[in-house]
Amino acid sequence: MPTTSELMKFAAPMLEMAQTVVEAKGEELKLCYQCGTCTSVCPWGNLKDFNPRKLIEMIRLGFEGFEDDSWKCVNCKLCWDKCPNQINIPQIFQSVRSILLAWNACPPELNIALTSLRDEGNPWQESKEKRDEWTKDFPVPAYEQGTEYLLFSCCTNDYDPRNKKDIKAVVEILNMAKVNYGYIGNKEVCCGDIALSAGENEGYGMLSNKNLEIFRELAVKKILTISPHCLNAFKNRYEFNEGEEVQSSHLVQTYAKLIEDKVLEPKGEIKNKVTYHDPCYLGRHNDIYDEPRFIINSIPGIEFVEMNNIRENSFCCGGGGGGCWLETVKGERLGDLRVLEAVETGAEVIITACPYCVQMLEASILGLGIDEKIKVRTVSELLLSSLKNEEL
Amino acid sequence: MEKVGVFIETKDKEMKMSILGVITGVRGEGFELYAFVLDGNAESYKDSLQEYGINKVVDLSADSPTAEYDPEVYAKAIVDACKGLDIKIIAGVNSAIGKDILPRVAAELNAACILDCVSVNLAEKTVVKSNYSGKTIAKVRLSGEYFVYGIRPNAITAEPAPVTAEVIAHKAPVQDEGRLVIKEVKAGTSKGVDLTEAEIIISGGRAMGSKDNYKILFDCAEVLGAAVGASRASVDADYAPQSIQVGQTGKTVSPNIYIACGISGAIQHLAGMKTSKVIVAINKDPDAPIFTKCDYGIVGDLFKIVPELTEALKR
Ligand SMILES: Cc1cc2nc3c(=O)[nH]c(=O)nc-3n(C[C@H](O)[C@H](O)[C@H](O)COP(=O)(O)OP(=O)(O)OC[C@H]3O[C@@H](n4cnc5c(N)ncnc54)[C@H](O)[C@@H]3O)c2cc1C
Repeated sequence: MPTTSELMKFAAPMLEMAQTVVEAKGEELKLCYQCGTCTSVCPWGNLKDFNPRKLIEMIRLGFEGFEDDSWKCVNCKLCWDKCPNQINIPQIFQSVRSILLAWNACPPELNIALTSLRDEGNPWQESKEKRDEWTKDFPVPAYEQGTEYLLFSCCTNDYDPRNKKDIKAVVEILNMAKVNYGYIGNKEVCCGDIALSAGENEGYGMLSNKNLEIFRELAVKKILTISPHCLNAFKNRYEFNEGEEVQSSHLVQTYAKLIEDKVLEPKGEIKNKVTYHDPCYLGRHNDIYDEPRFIINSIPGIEFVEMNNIRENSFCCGGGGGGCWLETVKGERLGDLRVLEAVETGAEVIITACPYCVQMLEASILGLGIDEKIKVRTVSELLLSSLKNEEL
Repeated sequence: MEKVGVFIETKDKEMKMSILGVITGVRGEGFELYAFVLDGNAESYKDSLQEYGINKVVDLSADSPTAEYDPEVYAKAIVDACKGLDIKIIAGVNSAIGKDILPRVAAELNAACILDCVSVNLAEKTVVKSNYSGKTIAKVRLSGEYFVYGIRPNAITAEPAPVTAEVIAHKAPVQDEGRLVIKEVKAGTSKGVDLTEAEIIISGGRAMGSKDNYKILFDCAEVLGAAVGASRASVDADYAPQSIQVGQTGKTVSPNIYIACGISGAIQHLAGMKTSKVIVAINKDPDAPIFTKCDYGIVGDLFKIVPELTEALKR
């Protein structure tokens, strides 16, 4: 007769996995009712057989087979919001990933980004000395002690040729509105969001500490972010000391206020039909839904149409949780579905407010071969076009 | 003098150039270099091999009648030669074929076997290996009687060190046990030179417009001895197979020359090729981001420029 422990090994060959996950901040694993709400709301369900409920049960029981799927979660937070027990399911996947990472079972393309984060402070395998290269012919005020806002640029805006256009628009608008802001250039390192969502806790700790050090050194009080991922890191993840009153906000909030106060008056007509894609990290993670819509509606001549899945129910582009660094075969890309949803509204432009969304949606548009039909612009690019009375 | 055997990988009667880096990496004072050639063309490789320091070119033939490439027979023949010639150190390129042959040789010889090294020091019996996708670099010391080293292609830059080599024949009485029967070898969809090993790559983007249009790139590649690559957008459009996608989620390449034709230069594409030694871009949009990363840029229509380039190179 086999002993009980031998039977356990057979029935639950990796039982210690559950315990390890719990210890790696995945305590909520135990709270799952197995109702399956997560599976029914998960965006992947539209494309493939992906079952978070089952994965959770497999992890709890210590069955193998959850490893590959654990990298799929894009941290869109829909499951967490809809879960009757409000379980932070993305956190469970992050905990699982941290364990997989320790076993060196991380998708290689993501590993490259993580290595670059450690070595260069950005996920794009670019040199840390070249972060501010775009400012060489495009002067940006430097942050000094006493400057009101620290403009936290985000690696993707600093290095990605596409998103450099966006940050340049940001700078132009802030200058027009005479906002008292500054940039720290090569002192900035990645906020650490992808490290965190990939379960690379050590790398995240290193990056967040570096930024915190700089914030402290420069006595930063207000941080203005362009990427909702940076915003989320500062607002919800960074461990500021007690009494350190650092306010983080997103640009769309600043713009909305500036427009309300008539500091910025978008007068140029934009004669396009546009729709707005809510980035998960701006919307669901940080409840910012109204400001971008207010900005769009303040633009004369514009025709604004909504998609079906908006605001709290927005449909993810697929870029969060490390998705921007992972290959997904054609036909299985969340971004494709989102772009097609936008096309259905008849819009010619998708407006959004996150560099990852820009990358994912634009790559989907190219992949679908519909770049003549629809394009992606950021809220900043839209606003600047109107302020300068130029075409979008 | 310690003897070192180098497995010479060949294809269609041509030697894989990456082997010259391996030879450069293993030669040194106190070592005599033997090259194992198994395709019957030892004589024709002699000049290049001696240029890089090979002392003896072993025309290695096995007794058994087999298909052109049979890893078991190859490995056994190498083992027989090592025993016959008293060679205890074996090295090769860590290519697909290298990975097929070297561990089999090691298993037969009960050797210490280490693959994917980026450098070796035979005197010290140490190698350098990168682990976890380059996160760590380990120096590993080997012990034992026999040693087998697989060296990463292009990790060591080939440098000539001419000597005079002689060709010797070795016939291995290998019995084909027939455990493995090669019925057919089917070429992959990406023809020509292997992308990650290529010294020159010419890549096409979405501007290629169709699968057929890729022909102009293949024509040019043939003249250049280059491999053909693609951007993801052109893979998505089914102009090119996924196996030749270059970029963050495709292949990472670092050739001496990378020619990007009708590729805008998205950050994900750049991630896969920006360490190329010389980058040439052909794009009709002067503002295309690829121009900020290239050494030479041509603003113009690739359908005019590429064929002209091919013609010029033919001359
Ligand atoms: C998660 C993720 C991973 C990705 N991974 C990769 C990857 O591994 N590799 C990769 O390549 N991309 C990758 N991408 C996609 C990348 O973002 C771009 O969409 C893609 O690289 C664009 O391909 P392209 O340059 O061929 O197309 P386009 O951007 O459409 O560029 C075509 C270019 O051709 C030029 N052109 C047009 N006609 C001519 C002509 N007749 N002569 C000369 N030039 C002409 C145009 O000016 C334009 O610059 C990834 C995207 C995501 C979101």
